[in-house]
Amino acid sequence: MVLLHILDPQEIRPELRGSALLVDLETDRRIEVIPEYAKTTYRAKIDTHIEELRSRAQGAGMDYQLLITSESLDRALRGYLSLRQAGN
Amino acid sequence: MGFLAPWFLGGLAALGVPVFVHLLRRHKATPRPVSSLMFFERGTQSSTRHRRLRYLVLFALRCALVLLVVLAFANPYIWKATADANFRLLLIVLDHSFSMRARTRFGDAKQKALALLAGKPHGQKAQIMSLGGQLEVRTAAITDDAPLRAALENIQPGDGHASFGELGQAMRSLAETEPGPIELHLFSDMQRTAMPSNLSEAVLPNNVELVLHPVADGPAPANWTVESVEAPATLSDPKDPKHSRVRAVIAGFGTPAATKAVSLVVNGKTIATRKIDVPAGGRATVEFAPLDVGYGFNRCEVRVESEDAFPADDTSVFAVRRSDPERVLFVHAADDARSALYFGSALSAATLGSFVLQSVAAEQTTDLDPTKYAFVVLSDAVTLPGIFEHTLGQYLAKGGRALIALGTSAGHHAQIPLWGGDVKDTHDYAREGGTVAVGQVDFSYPALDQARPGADNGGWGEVKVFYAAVPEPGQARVAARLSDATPLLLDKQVGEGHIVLLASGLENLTNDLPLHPIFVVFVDRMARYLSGDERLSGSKVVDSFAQLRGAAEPAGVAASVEVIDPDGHRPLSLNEARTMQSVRLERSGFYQIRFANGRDAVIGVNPDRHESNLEPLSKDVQDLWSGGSASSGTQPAGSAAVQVKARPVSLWWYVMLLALVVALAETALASGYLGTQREEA
Repeated sequence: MVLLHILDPQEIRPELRGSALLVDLETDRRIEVIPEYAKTTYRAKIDTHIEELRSRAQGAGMDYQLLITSESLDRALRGYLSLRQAGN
Repeated sequence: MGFLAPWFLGGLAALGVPVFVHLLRRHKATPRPVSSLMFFERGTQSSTRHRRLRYLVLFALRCALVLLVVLAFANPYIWKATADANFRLLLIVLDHSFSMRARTRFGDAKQKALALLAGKPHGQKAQIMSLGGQLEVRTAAITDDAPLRAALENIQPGDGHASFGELGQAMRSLAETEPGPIELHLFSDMQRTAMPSNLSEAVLPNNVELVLHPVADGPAPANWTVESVEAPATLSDPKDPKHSRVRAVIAGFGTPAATKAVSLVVNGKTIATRKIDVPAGGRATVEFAPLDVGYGFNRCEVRVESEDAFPADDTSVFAVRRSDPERVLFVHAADDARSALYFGSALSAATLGSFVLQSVAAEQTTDLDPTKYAFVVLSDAVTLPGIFEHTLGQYLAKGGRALIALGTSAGHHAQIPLWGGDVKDTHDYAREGGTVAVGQVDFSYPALDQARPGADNGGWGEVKVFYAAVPEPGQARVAARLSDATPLLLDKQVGEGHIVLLASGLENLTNDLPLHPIFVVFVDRMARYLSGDERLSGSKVVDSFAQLRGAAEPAGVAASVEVIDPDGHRPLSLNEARTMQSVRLERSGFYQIRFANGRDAVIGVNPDRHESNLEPLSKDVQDLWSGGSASSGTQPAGSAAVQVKARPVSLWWYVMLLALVVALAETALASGYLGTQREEA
C-alpha cells in the first residue's frame, strides 16, 4: 500500500510579493499574511507536516510518496517505481 | 519660544512627501485563494501587525526628520531666565584724569569700584580699564578676583584729560570682538568738559549697558586756575621789551569776583607778584616784564594764590632758555651779495638779535665747521668745496638743518649738493614773458605756519616768481607750489637732519619775495624751525608728544636719546631710547630731553585746562548717555550681579542633533525593510 501525497508547489513554497490576503477555498476564512511568515514559519510547518505523514505512513507499513503537481504524472510514478524496485 | 527665521517654516510642506509615500501609495492586499489555511493560524496576525507597526514607525521617523530639519532652519529659540551676571562681562572703568585729584574724588571712586568688584559673582568675567589721557586696558576679561583687585588698586591719579568720546570709540571697537553683553560701570566725576560736543561720539553700542557712578555730587566747587601762559621759549636779551615778558590768563570756574595774587616763580624763587581782579566766572590777564632770567634753562611757573577746591591746577609751568645770539652760516655764490643782505635784514628784524648771520662765499667754506652754527643756508651755492660738503653731510646726518635756495646757478649745475637729486629743468618765466604766483601753501608746515591765513593766501598771494628750478622731489614733502604746480618749497629728511629746498633764490632777481612783508615772517619761522629752538624749551600739554628724531631714520644707526620725566625717572627703555621717534608726555612738570645730536631740552608740561572746570554733566545728559534714568548713577554697587533677565537661547544645535539621531534610526529601519523587499524580489 502506498500513500500518495499530492501538493501544489505554492503549498510547499508559497511566494508572496508583499502582504497578501489569503482566502480559504473551503471555509472562506481570510487571513492577511506577510512574506516573512510565508518564508519562515509556514515553510517550517509544512515541512514538519510532510515529515509527520511520511513517518506515520511508514509506521503503518505503507509507502509514502510526495507528488508535486508541477511534475508530470509519469515522471512521478517512474520515480516511485524505481525507488520501490531498489527497495526490494 | 519663537523662531529667528520663521519663514523657513514654509518647508513643512515637505511633510507631504512621506504622507504620499506611506499612506496614499499604501499597498492594498488583494484576496488570494489557497487550499487550506491550516498552517496560517497563530502568529500570522501578529506578524502583520508587527510589520504594520514598523511601517508606521518608519513613516513617523520620516515625518519627524522633515519636521526637525525644517525647525532647525527656522532656528527656534526660547527665552531663558538666567542670572544676568553669569554671562555679562563686567567692565569697570575708573576715571583717573587730572580733575579726579580734586578733594577726595579719586579715592571715593576707587573705593566704590572695589566694592562693586567685591560683589561680583565668582564665575563672572570682569575687566579693568582706566580712563585718563587715553583709555588703558589694565586686565584681560578674567574671572579671578585677585588680579582684578590688584589692577584696580594700582591705578593712580593721572594728569591727562579724560574724553568720553574716546571711551565710546573704545567700546565700539570692543563690541566688535566681544559680541556678548557688556555691563560698563564708569566711576568718574562726570566732568562736562569730558563729553565731546557731538554726543554721538560717546554713543555706546547696543550690547553695552552703561551704569554711571558719579563721585562729585552737588554744584561744582569754585576753582581758579592759570589758564594759559605766553612766554618766550628762547630769550637772548632780557631787556628786549617785545620778547622778554610773560603774560598769563587767570580763569575762574564757578567763582565769585575776587582779587587774586599771581606770582612768577623762576627756578623756585618768586621774582614778582601782581594782584589782579578776576570777575565772577571770568578771566583776567596779568603781565610780568621784563623776564630777567639767567643763562641756560630756567624752570618757570606762574602761580595763582588761591584757596579753592582744586589747588593742583593753580600753577602753570614753562621753560625759558636764555642763550647768546646763535650764529647762522650763510653760504652764497661769489657774485651774489644781495641774498645775504635781504636774508640777514629779515633775520635781524624778525628774531631781534637771537641770531647773527655769518655770510661766507662758497669758495671760502673749506675750513668751516657747521656744527658751530644754529643752521646753514646755501644761497645759490650749488658748487661747494668737497671737504665742506662732506662735513655738512655729517652735520645733517646728526640732526643739523639747512636751507638751500636755488638761484640762477642751478641752471648751469644740475646737481644739488646733499639733496640726493638733480635739477630736472628750469623755468625762466621772465624770459617767457611773464611771472607766476605762489599757488598752494601748506600752512601746517612749521616754517610756513599760520593759524589763520588771510585771503591773500597768507601774504604769499602777492609774491611773483621770475625764475625757478625744478628739482627732483624724491621723498620730500612739498610745502608750497607755484601756480603752475612747480614745487617751490620742499623738505627732505637726511639722516636725523632736514634740508629745506627753496626752488627759487633769496634775492630779488629770481623773485620779489624779499620785497614783501611775508619774507620777514617766512625767515622768522624758518629760522626757528631750522634752529630747532622751539623743541628745546617752552611748554606743552599733558599727553602731547615730543619729537625725538626723524621718521626716516635707518634703524640701528641713530644714537640714543635720553628722557627724564618730572619724577626723575627714565620712561624709555634702552631699546626705545635708540629707536622711538617721539615720546608721550604723560606727567605734568618739567621733562628733560637730551637729543641724539647732544642738544638738551627742558619742556614744561601742564595738564589740559579743560580739567579745571569741575562742573559735572547735567543729570539729563547723564540719563541720555546711559540710556535712561534706570541705570544712571543711583544703582548700588554690585547690583549688576543680581540682575535676572531673560535672554534668547537658540535651539538650533539641539534640533539638528535630534534630526541626526532620527535620520540614523530611519536609515537603520528603512534598510531592514528594503532588505526584506529585495529578498522577496
